[in-house]
Order: sequence, then structure tokens, then C-alpha cells
Amino acid sequence: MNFTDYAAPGTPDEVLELLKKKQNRIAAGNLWLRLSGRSGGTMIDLKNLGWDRIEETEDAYIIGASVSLRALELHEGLNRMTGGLFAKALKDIVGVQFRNAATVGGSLSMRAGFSDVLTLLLPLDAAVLLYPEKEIPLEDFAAAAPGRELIRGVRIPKQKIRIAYRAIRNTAGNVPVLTCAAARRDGMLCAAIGARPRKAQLVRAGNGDPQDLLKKALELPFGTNAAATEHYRRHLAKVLLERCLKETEEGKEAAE
Amino acid sequence: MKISFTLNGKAVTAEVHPGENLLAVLRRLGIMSIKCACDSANCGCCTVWVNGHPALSCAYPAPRADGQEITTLEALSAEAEAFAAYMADEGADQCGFCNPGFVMNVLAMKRELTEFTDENVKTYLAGNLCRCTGFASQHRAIAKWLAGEGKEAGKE
Repeated sequence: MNFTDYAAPGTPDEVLELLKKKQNRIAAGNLWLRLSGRSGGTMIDLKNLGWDRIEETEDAYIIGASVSLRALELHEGLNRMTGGLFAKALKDIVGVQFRNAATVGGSLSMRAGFSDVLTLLLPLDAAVLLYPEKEIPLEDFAAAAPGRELIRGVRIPKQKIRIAYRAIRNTAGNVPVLTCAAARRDGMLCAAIGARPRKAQLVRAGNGDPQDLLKKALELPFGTNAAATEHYRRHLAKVLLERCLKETEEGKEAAE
Repeated sequence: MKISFTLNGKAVTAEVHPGENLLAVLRRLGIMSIKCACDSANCGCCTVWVNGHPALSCAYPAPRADGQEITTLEALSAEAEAFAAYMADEGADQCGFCNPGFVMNVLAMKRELTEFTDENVKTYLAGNLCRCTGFASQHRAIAKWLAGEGKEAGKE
């Protein structure tokens, strides 16, 4: 992407004003955006908005849109709550340098099929915080088509949860060909399956029954692309979900 | 547009294009250690430190560098030279093209990690692709370096 202008506004209202022009784009980590063929417009940098922090309240973690995936991976509180899952799920995204640049907001706004971040956050009951003030369940946000919304952060409620994450990559550092997260919380059982190659989707088990969850997960649409066939992905989904379920059965609740 | 930043401890001002990446600007300023290899944020040959953290200069927007502290291999020459010589002595290198980015990330790792397990090291260096060695010789030599010289030197 070859921008002809650059702006780092000091207020979100200025960002919204800039977004009115179709050619202008928010550059988060600038990792995927730069590979797009578009040219012209203004690169909007969110660096002056102060959205690069993770705040902890009594009942939630509020993650700013500009928080890097590396910061998320290393965050003590989030890892304590999930038994170290943030570190485990994010560590295979390319390399440290890439994760120092990639942001939470950028990852979610793309709603990419291969997103480890989306798959990881869905079972955590996360909500996307938009500007102007609006909170949308991540499940609904992910289901919508990519728009020109201004994401200011993500809210993850503190919870007692047993959660497991697995992903398969054809080669190390590549995008995953299947991602899977399963979680047990308050007798509820759910799973997110991503990279099908469609974006991650959440399924819930009736009465917390693992077999019901497996059945619903395998009924999701799977597809074929250059990385893997539909048949292979469906097979992986079954294997990974069974492993995740086993982990959540055996694991202890890590959170307060 | 004009940006000002700290480059290897010195204040610099540069004229940049709004769509330009940091790598192009640094090379124009005479910093030749960084390489434009994959040009898609995958291989790590363009690694620099931004405020002390390793970053891919091929994907880092040049205007974003305004006010930041940028460090390249040129600023770490003594430490880097010692490490690179050790790698060469161990036969862990081949063509050397990826070395500058690789060395930058190894030195960042040495400062950042507290535990140098095999898995930690491999994960930290996963973003540095070497087209020749197949990584085995690099990892063997780094493990030795961290167990010996690295251990004595400790974290900076």
C-alpha cells in the first residue's frame, strides 16, 4: 500500500473524520495492509490515542486496540486466568518481531479466517469496544463483514475457566490450517473453530455435553484452499477439539 | 514530510515519504546492516530495535518512527562482533546474509528472556529465517554461547 499522506491524530474524533474518506486507512501493525495493492490516501496511525495499554478492573481486562500481540502473549494476569494459554496460542505467529508490531485491534478488524487471536478470544466471552462508545460481543462482531469501524479495545471478563488451544500449521511460522479453542465455564461448554479456512465461529454444547459440542463443531462449514482440503480440515477439527476437551477435563481452573 | 528520531544514540532528521518504510529510510541514511529480503514481514533480515524491542523495519512505517529510539547493528558492534565471531568459529553460519537481523534478535533475546530453554530460544528466534543452515547449527551454537559466554555475561 502506497499512502500519499500520514496522520497520527490526537483524538478518536479526528480519526473518525479521516475515515470518512474511503481511501484513508487505519494502519495498525501495517503488516497485512502494506501487502495490499491499493495506493493513495492517508495512513491513519493510532499511536497518539493511548490505546496501547492493558488495564485491569475488578471484573475485567480492558485491552487497548494498539496493544501488541507480544504484550498480550506476555501478560501475567491473562496468562494466570487461562493457565498460560495466551502465551501458548500466540507464540507461533511468525516471530517476536512480527508480534511486537501486530496489534489486537488490527487482528480483530480483519476478521481473518486464519486468526489465532479471534479463535482464542471467542470462548473467553470477549467484547469489542468501539468508538463512539459501543460494546459488541466478539461473536457478533466476528460474524459481521469487515467495516470501517474504529476499535478502541477488547474487554475480557475475569472468569473461572478451563480453556485449551490447539492449532496446526503446515510449516512453522505459517498461518494455521486449523485453529481450535475449547472452554468450560460455569457448567457451560463451548468451542471456537477457525481457519476452516473461514473465520472462527463459536459453538455451544447443550447441557455441557462434549459429544454434542463435537457434533456441532463438525457441522460448521469447512473448505478447501491451497493449504488444506475440506476433508483434512474436518478431520483436524475432530482431533484438535477432542484433545482440547481432554485438556479442559483434566486441567484445573487457573483463574480467580 | 520531515521526521526526527534517535538513531544509534544520535539525533537525526530525515525527509520521508508518507508511505515509506523505515528500512528504506535507514539505508538511505547509510545503515547498510539491515537487508530488504522477503519484504513481507516474514524473514527478520531487516530487524532493528524500536525503543529497545526488535521490530521489522520493512513493515514499520517511516513516519511512525518520529520521536522513537532506533537501534541497528552498527550501534552494537563490539557485542555483535564477538557473537558473530563465535558463530563463525562454531561453523554455525553459511552465507551470512541473514546474520545482521539474526544477531539483532539474539541480542534482544539475551536482554529480554530470563530463561534460555531450548524451546524459549527457538520460539524467540522463529522470526529469523536462514536460507542456508537449516537452523540446526545456529541453535547448537547459540545454546553453547548462552551456556558459556552468555551465562557469564548475563543479562545486560
